[in-house]
Amino acid sequence: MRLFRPASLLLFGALVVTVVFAVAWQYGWHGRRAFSESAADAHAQMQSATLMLQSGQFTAAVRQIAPILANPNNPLYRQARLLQWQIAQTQALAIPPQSPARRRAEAGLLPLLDGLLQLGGWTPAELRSLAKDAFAVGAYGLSAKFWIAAAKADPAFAPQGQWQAAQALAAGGDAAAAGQILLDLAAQTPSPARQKALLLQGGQWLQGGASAAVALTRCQALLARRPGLWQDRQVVLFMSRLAMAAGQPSLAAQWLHSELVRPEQGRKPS
Amino acid sequence: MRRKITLLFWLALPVLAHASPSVPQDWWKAPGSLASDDAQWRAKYLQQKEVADAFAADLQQSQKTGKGMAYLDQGGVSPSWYKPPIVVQPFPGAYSAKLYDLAYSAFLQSHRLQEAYRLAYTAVLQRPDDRQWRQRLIQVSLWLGQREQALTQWTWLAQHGDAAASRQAITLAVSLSRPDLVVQLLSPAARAGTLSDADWKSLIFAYGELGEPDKALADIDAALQRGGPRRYLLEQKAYLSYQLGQVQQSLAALQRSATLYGSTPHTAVEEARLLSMQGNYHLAFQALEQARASASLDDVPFWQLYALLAWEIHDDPAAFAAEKTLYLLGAASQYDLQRLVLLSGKENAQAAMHVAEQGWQRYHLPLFYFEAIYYAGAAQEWQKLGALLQQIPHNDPDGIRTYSAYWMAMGQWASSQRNYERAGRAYAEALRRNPEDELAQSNLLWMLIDHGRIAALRALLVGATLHPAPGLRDAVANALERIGQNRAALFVQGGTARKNTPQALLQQAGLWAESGSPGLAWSQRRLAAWQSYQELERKPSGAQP
Repeated sequence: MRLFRPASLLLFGALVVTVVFAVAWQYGWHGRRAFSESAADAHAQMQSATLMLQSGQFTAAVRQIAPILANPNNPLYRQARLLQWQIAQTQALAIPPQSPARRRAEAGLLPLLDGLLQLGGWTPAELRSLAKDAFAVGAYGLSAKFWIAAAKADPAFAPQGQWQAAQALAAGGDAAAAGQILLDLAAQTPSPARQKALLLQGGQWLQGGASAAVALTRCQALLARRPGLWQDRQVVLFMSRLAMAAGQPSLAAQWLHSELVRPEQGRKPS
Repeated sequence: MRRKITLLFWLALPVLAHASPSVPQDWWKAPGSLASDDAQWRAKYLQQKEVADAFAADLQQSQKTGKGMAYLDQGGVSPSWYKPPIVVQPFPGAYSAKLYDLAYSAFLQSHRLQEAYRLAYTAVLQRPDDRQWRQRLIQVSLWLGQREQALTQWTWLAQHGDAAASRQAITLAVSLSRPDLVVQLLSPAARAGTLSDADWKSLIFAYGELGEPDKALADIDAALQRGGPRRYLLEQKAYLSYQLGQVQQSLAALQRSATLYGSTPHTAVEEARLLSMQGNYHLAFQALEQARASASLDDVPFWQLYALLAWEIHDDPAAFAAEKTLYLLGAASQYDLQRLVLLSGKENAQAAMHVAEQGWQRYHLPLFYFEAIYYAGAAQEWQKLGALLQQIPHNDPDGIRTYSAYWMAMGQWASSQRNYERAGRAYAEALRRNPEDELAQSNLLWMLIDHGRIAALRALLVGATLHPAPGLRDAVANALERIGQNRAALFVQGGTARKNTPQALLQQAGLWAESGSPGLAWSQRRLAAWQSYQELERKPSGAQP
């Protein structure tokens, strides 16, 4: 038989080796010599780390997931990053508040979160969760970025996400950006009541964060697109105050005068 | 002979002149004299009263109907400060504090005062009890010159217990001539007796503008009852009651003020005026007499009234002193000078002459000229008299020579200069001017008698001389005696009421003796001697009280 010729044997051998490698690869071997770091191991490590986190053994938990984190190609790498963040967060929040240690711990959280954000590819639910976590630990800017990412990821959620982002920005002291987000949101919202609420809030934040003049210009731009809002007395009063604060009392006088002479039936109760 | 004919011609002239209408009036009734000016004053006063009454009726009518009171109705160009009233429509819709407050500040900041005014006006209409909006309306009104609106708001605030607004409202109401508001604002305080003198003045003036001085008087009475007497109020009461014609009440107020606070020359003058209006010249003079000690030389009205009243009640020394004061102060009017001439003339003709000459120089009234020449004649200042007579220029602008008094004085002066020719001509001229002038006639007769112009006397006394006018009787009798017609002289004398004085009896006795009845003359001389003796006996006993 020519079957057992050396070439055939070599080809068979190569085939067997390929299959073995494929199976191993499928099981999580990535060409390393250490076969112990397999997928099964990783799962086990993740589960044990979760348990350790629940039982408060933060250092041990970190040690458990350290091998996974060392290998970005590990299929559980992303989960491990999440778990790492959860461990660090829980650990930091366990420290009594108002203490220097807690402050240090919270500062240490920021690079973790930032890394998660840089990593990307999160599901909307994960993004929302991360945004809330970030807000909780006082990373308002990152929280806003997560909210924006969440809004981008899920169009149905977009308005709420943007609104949340604005809240986070406002909480973080960037009222101007927050206000601008609200105004943009108002331009997209179909409900007049919502428009009015967003306009008032956004205008106030812009005034506080940037200046009355900027707020006036932006609000005027919005109202040019939504002239129906002028029918609302609260809007008129807000805009007039804004104009007076921006040093344009003649604009305010003009708006107030038209509000004063507006007939009764066209007026909304405010 | 020729002289006689000339004289006769002159004497006959009056018969012709009598018919002519241009008989000169008496010089003491010439314009400028007390007698003629009094009539003029009366006519002028009546006319003024008529005009004032018509004006008051017209004003009252205007105030009732409101016509003719608007400023622009007077048809002039408005002054620069005048702003026509702004008529605004209130904003529609209900009041909203937020909107209105914001709009008010926005309108003010953008200088839209008209809109701010309209807004405040609307707010006040919708919230009448809001003081802040009323204050704002006042502010904008004043900026826009709407003083009536400001006054309305201030009045509201004042009536709701704002003292500062009350002051402002009164000031503005006075300057806007709104007496009704002044009365409304001030009358309660006035009746309560808590008003200052300045406010009383405003209130009384406002009542006057409204034509209701009786109400002012009622307020003053109420204040006097509540707050006791007060000098200013008493004086005002006197003034107002005088305005209302209640002289008695006015007098009572003045006298009360005088007893409480003492009499000043000013109040004494007022009091005396009121009293003299009632005809009580004596009381009026007493009121002045009481204040005389405190009157200084500067109180010219006081001295004028004092002199006038003293003259009225014939207190000649007092009148003389007062007139003299006025004369020396240089404050004597032409009437004062006239009175001073009359008062001093009796005692001191020379002084009267000087005063009259002063009056003539100052007022250039013929009256003073005639007084001056009269007293010059009386004082026998012939040189002065001559100078006065020569003063009249040839063309005679004042018509002095048309009065017979001038020719009389000329006659007197010429006689004193022994220029009988000229004197005769002057007397004849006087008689030509006024044929009835008995004084001229008798002066002429006496002159002829004194200087023995028998022929002229004969010529004059030819005809019906037995019934001369009463004033001429003496002169005619003497003239007849002079030309030797003793019986006619006796007849003329007998026509008079029988004089039983020794002098008259002696004269008659002389006439009887010369006309051939020595017995009658003797008995008359005896009677005269008896009467003289009795008179001598009576005199010492009569001198002792």
